[in-house]
Order: sequence, then C-alpha cells, then structure tokens
Amino acid sequence: MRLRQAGPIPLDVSLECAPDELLALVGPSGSGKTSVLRAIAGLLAVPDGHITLNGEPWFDAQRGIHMPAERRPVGMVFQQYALFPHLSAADNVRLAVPRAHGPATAREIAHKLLRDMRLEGLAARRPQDLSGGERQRVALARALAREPRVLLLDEAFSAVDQPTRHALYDELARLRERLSLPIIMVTHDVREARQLADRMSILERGRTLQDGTPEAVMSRPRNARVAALVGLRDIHTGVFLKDQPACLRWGDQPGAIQLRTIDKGRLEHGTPVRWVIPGEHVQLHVAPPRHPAEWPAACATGHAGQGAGDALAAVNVVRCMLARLSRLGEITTLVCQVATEPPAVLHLDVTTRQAAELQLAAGQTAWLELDPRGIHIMPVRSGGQAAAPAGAANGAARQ
Amino acid sequence: MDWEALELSLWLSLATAVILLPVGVLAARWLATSRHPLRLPLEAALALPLVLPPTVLGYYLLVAMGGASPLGEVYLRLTGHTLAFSFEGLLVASLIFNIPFAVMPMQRAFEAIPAELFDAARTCGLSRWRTLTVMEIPLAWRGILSGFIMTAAHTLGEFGVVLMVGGSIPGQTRTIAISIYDRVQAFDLHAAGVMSAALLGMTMFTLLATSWLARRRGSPAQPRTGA
Repeated sequence: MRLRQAGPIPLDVSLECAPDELLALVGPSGSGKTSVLRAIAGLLAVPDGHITLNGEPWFDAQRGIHMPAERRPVGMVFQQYALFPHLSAADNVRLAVPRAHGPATAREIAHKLLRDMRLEGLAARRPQDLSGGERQRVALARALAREPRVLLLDEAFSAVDQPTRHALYDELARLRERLSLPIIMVTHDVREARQLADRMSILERGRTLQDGTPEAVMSRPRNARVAALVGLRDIHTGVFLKDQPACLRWGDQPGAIQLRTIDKGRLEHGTPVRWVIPGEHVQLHVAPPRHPAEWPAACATGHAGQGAGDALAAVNVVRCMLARLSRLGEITTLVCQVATEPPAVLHLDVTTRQAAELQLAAGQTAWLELDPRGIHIMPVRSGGQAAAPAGAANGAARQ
Repeated sequence: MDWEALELSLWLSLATAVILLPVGVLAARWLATSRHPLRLPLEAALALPLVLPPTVLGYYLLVAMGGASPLGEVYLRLTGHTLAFSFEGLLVASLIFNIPFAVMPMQRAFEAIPAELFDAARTCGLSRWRTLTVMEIPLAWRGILSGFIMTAAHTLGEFGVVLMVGGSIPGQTRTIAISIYDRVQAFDLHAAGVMSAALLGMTMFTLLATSWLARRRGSPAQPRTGA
C-alpha cells in the first residue's frame, strides 16, 4: 500500500505486510498510524495512493477504485472494543458473519468463535456485563467472524490492565498458530511491538522513519529521532574518527573519552554523530576488568590512563560514578555519570538481586565495558541531510 | 364533555405521530450524520415552528392551503373541497408544526451513538440500511419514542395553528383544545374544567408511561472497568 495526503493528518507512507506477518505501526499520537489502519479498512478516504491485497485492488486513486468498507474482508479490533451495547456477545459476533451462511450457520459460527476465545459461558451476556479482557476477546471473535483476509488491531490492548493484556497477548499468539493472515497492529507501546511483532514500522508526522525487525530497529535506529521514539534513553553525541582502528570521541571536546568502534566505511573522519548502545552490550564491573583478547588494539589517540579521561580505550572500559539507583520491583536502574567532556549519563538496568549481590550504592565508582559491536552510530541530521565534514558523502544513513 | 372533539383530537394526534415517526427517523438520522452544506439551514428551518408564534405559522399555512393558492387550487380540483377548514388540512398543518417535536429528540438520540460503533458496523460488513435497523434504531429507541410521544402530546394541546387553519367546525376541525376555548367563551366553566382535567390527565399518563417504559428497558451501555 501507498498512501499520500496533505491533511488534516499528513500521510506519506508505503507499507507491505506478508501473509503470516504481524506488522506493528509504532509512533507518537498524531503520527498517522491509526489513519493508515482506517484507510486500509476503508473508513478513511485518502486522496492519493493505492491499497492492494494479493493483487486485488481495494483502493487506487489513479484508477478511481474505492472498495467500500463494508465490502472489504477486514477484521478490525478497536481500542475501546466498539461492541454493540444492546446485543449479547453471541449476537455481536453473529452480526459480522457473512450473510451468505444463513442465520442458523451464523449462530453456530458465532458460538464456535466464542468457544475458541474461551467465552462459551458468556455468550448471552451484554458487553456491559463483561470485563475489559472479555470484551476485547468478544471483539476479536467478531473481527474473525467476518472471515477476514487482513486483521487490524487499533491499540487493541491499551484499554486493559497489565495481567489482562498479557492474557490477550497469549490469545493473539494462539490465534496466529491457528490462522494464517497478515495482521497490522497500531500501538504506541514499543515494548508491546517488540514482544508481538515480526516487523515494526516507526511513523512520525505520517512518514515512515524506519522499518525492520524489532531487534534491528531497537538496536540500530536510523537516527536519533527513531532512537528516542523506540525509547532509548541515552542518545550520546560524539565525533567519528576514521583512525586505524576506528574510534568514537564521546562528546565534542578534544579531551573527551575515545571508544573503539567498527568502521563500516560510510562516514568520513571527523563526522559529528549521535550514538547509542543497547543495555545488553554494556557490562558493569565494580573493579577494573581485564582486557579481552579480541579487542587488543587501542584507539590511535587517547589510551587508557594516558590523558584520555577515564577510558581504557582498548576494551572500551569507562569509569563512572553511580549517581542514583532506582529500584522498581525486580529491576534496578543505575544512573551512571561518566566524566567525559561534556559529562554524560548512561542508564543501565540490572536485576535488583544483582544490585544487592554487588552491594551497589549511590556515590560508588564502577566500570562500564561497552562492546564496540553494540555501539550504533547515527549521523547528526541537519535539513534532511547528514551533517558531515567537507568532502564527505551526503545522506549517509547510518554508520 | 365534548366527546366528538376528544375523539377528533385523538385521531389527529395519532395520525400525526404515526406519519411523523418514519419521516422523523429518516430526517433525524440524516441530520445527525450528514455533512451536507444544506444540513444547517435545513435544521434551522425545521426548528422554526418552535419559535414562530402559532398564529403566524397558522396564517402562512392558511394562505398556502386556501383556494387561491396553487396547492389549494389543485386540492380543490381533486377533491371538490378546500384543504383549509378540513380535517386533512388540519393534519397537514399538524404535521408541519410538529416536525421539531418529532425530529429533535430523535436527532439527539442518533447523535449520541458513538462514532466508533459506526466504524465497527462498517467493518462488520453491515450495509447502511442494516446498520440503521440493527444498530441505530435499537440504540436510539428512547429518543424515537420520546419524539413520538412529544408529537402526540403536543398535537392534543395545540391551539393557535388549529384555530387559524381549521376554525371550529364540529366533527371536522374542532379539537378538544378549541372546544375548551369555546366553552370558556360561552361561560361554561364546568365543561371547560372537565375537559382541561381530562387533557391534563391523558398527557400526564402518557409522559409517566413513557418514563416508566424507558427505565424498565434499562440503559444500553455503561462501561465497566476491570478484567
């Protein structure tokens, strides 16, 4: 599909979803993700673009094709359930069964779908007599009653509490085992997308910022904006140094820490960058660690203990001070202050048990080992182009 | 007690309410959901009988139905009698001045249906007609019933327009409201009192019955939180 419109919500989106695939559209409020879903369902008329399912055009602005919503084989689950309040759970589902089946078969199909959703005893209840999770399961059964060729979930799990949400995740997983159809899910919850989706598309102001597997998007965001949208807390500034081996100056001052990184040949020497490192690539030590053999060489400048701040450059070990420890149940978040130029902060999640075992406390000195393979470098964008030194190639998407 | 006037009033009231029921439902639904540029001026025009003095409305209707008007002329040619000062003329006038009483409660009821339910109906494959019959009317039934009752009750008590268009012809255009007025003019206060009490009783009974019925059927949707 491709959708374009200037307003009221601007859209310029191209998407594909394979059979069996769960695609998550992730973005902040007003990013156009729900508009995309509504356009697929036929509930929103877009002036330009096309939507095709298996070669069958549902919408094509140039050819004047616009299949009405009621004829599109789409199952849609809404955030607030949108169940018909005057009808029982069974009648809500039965109403969506194609009329060609006849009333008796429609009733059987509705009851079977409710059984599949483990709601058999609640068929006669009206929505107001059901809990949030039960309502959403009825809504899911109703969406399936339509015999859809695409399933659309519009923030379908956001109106229920945490345990119910996890139960619904299980329901969705069971559903995917039984049925083979593309599922497009809208969510603003990155964790939910990461947990459920095969692929995620990050949207902002109606544009796709990045598209890929959740792992790829989370660990290698295309730019700082994507990094912020996927919830990476620490987006650092730096300068890429194309030395042998390649280095990253953490901060923009000459006396800043230098870290080993990997040169993918896309950035020129001296390019100002933003960079992130996912938590799984950071190891915490309460004493200076030994250098691993696989990264024996140091950066060209700034060796450990040789005037390069606190970086043991050969292994990217950085000394820091634990400024704060925030315990949230099983997880403790450490706020590590790194003495680079300018000073930087790095958040690190450890288990509360691990924090207790290591006897971590605020004010304590610790060492962070940053795996060069986990350092993801993004060019600083300015006016739609990557800011790069003179002579550098424009538009380098990422290092 | 003028039983003939009471019977005529009841027939007029019933006919008006029954005719305006489907018309009101369709008009109210259109007004509630349409984005047509004519919607606002039409909505204002339909509300005119609420604010226009009944004598002014009655005057215009009388002129429109008189033998000199194109409508009156056609009607006279077809039936042999004028539309004004006849039961049919009274019914036409009653339909027109009752439009807001029928349409407004129905429109508010249709407007109260959440937009998401319309989306759900479309994604369930329901046609517009099926959406109206299986979703909208069952959800808006209170407003529809309210419009029906208000129309009937208002017709029973309407005086100004009825007097202008129908006059006071016994058995044809003399409604109970006109009859009460006639009795008062003739200083027959006892008869006027009996008829007024009867009208009051009937109206109260209708409104109470409607209210009881609405409560008995229960509220359609009150969201409950929790798992």
